[in-house]
Amino acid sequence: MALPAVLTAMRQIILDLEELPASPEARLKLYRKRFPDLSPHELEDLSKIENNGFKTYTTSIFQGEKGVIFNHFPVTLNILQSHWENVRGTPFKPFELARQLHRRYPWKSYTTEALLQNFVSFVQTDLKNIEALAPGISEMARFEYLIFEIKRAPDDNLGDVLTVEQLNALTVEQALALKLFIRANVRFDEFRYDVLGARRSYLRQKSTITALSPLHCLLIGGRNGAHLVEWVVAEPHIYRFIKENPRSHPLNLEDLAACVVEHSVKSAQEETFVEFLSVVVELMRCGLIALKQ
Amino acid sequence: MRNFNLPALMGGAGLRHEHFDSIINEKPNFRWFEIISEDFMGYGGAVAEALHEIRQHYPIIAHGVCLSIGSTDPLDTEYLKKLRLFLDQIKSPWTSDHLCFTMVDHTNLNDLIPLPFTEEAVQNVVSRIKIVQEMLERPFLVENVTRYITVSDREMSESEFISRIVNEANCGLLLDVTNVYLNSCFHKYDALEFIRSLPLERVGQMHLAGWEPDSRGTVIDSHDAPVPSEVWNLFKSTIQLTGPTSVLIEWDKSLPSVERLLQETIMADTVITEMTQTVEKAA
Repeated sequence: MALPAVLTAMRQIILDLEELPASPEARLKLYRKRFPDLSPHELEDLSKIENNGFKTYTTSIFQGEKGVIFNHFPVTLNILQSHWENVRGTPFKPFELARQLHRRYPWKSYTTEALLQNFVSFVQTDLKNIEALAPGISEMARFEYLIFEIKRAPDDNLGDVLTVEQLNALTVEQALALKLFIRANVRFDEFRYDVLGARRSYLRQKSTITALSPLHCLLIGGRNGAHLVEWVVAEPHIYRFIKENPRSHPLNLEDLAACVVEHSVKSAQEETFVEFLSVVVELMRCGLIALKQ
Repeated sequence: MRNFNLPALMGGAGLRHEHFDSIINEKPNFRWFEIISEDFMGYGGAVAEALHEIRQHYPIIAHGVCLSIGSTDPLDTEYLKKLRLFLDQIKSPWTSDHLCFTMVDHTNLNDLIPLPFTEEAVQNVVSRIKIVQEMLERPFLVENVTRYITVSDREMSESEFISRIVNEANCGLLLDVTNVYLNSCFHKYDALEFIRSLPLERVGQMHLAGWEPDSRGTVIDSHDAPVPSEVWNLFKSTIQLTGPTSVLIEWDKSLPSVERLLQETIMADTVITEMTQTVEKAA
């Protein structure tokens, strides 16, 4: 009895063996060689299974994975498709992409995150020839993965937080006494290409993208009040503040104020405070921070 | 024991994202919803908020696809802890997953792969279900899967395999009537006889679904069409054997309108009521 060996053999037949012999006898010969831990009965049982049977699972599995990837990386795949045939010499076949992904980065978890992370790695390591024609494609993959993370991140359950209107009603002293929380769903990264602009453009127009424009940007993303993903193109000192501080942990709003003041080019105190307030409001509106008393 | 001692919720529907707004805003007369646990557990944002809102007005039963109860990999206890937390949050009175494996060698097959009908597989599944039941602390049901292959029926039949498992693990059976029907077509046996051979007192829930053949005419358990008449007929005969239960309409792709989906659940209610009355009259 070798149940583990039977299940392993089934896994390999379904996921790894692309062509199975047509006859049971030929399959038996192949399986006997490939799966030495199987008993004669187990080998016979597996070799009796017609190829269409296993193929139904193979098709379903890779179609499913392809669907998940296409759903979460629309712009990355758009760029990939526009260059694939030129670079690879074969037409772009989404099913084969899923199969290649499995070969290079088998999905080793039940989580969707793991599959998506595998795809990001695949773009970074295995599509360098496409990246040469479409620089920034691996950044786009990274960016689209962050969107998934932001959408799905657990809620931080901060309870009642201040609205922008409530903030505007406070005095300067009252405002600076507030506690600031970087929201649990916030994600950030540094990019050398205009991933945000390209994705916005694609979602509006659905046109083919063959290249990304170079643009150095620091992006911080979060979920706004309507649970939609919003992005801030951040100044370096704001990016650093977000990056260097923990999420969902009480910070002092006056620390953010000090950070803004330090880098402000405004000369008048009042103007500096207005600048600070506009930064705070933008971060609140995009769901990146919450304020509490 | 009847209906695995669970409440018979009658007809319910699968909860899909596309229907969230209609359900929240219009509160149609569904009796209950089933959700896929892994689509929600551990996630926040719009999905979590919608689920929380819907749960205020409707019972929700969680159904999993990633437990891989038949695998020989170690049970994923972190997954089970997350699942337990989630089930408590949504107050799911019972939960279920499929009698199959979805991962082995720590590799996700992303599908419900059937098991060989062997003694070793029975013992493996039984021991794992017992752990699952301890960790989840609520009734647990395993669902019979559509199988496009027979891995091995050398030692026992599928009905004996299922019966042995649910009896020895003392768990429930989520009887997917569509899966029985499709398997009876694929593997040439009588669907109703198959159902009769199961420990029907352990059936605590049922699934019904429809399918559209793919572009090559291949029948796949696709959940993308209304329940066909052949399955309704089998369901009618089954209800005469089991009595009332909770029956889910699985319509996951090519989604109908909320109204159309509700109609299917009402049809299920009608069948249950009529068949139960038929049995009572005969008695």
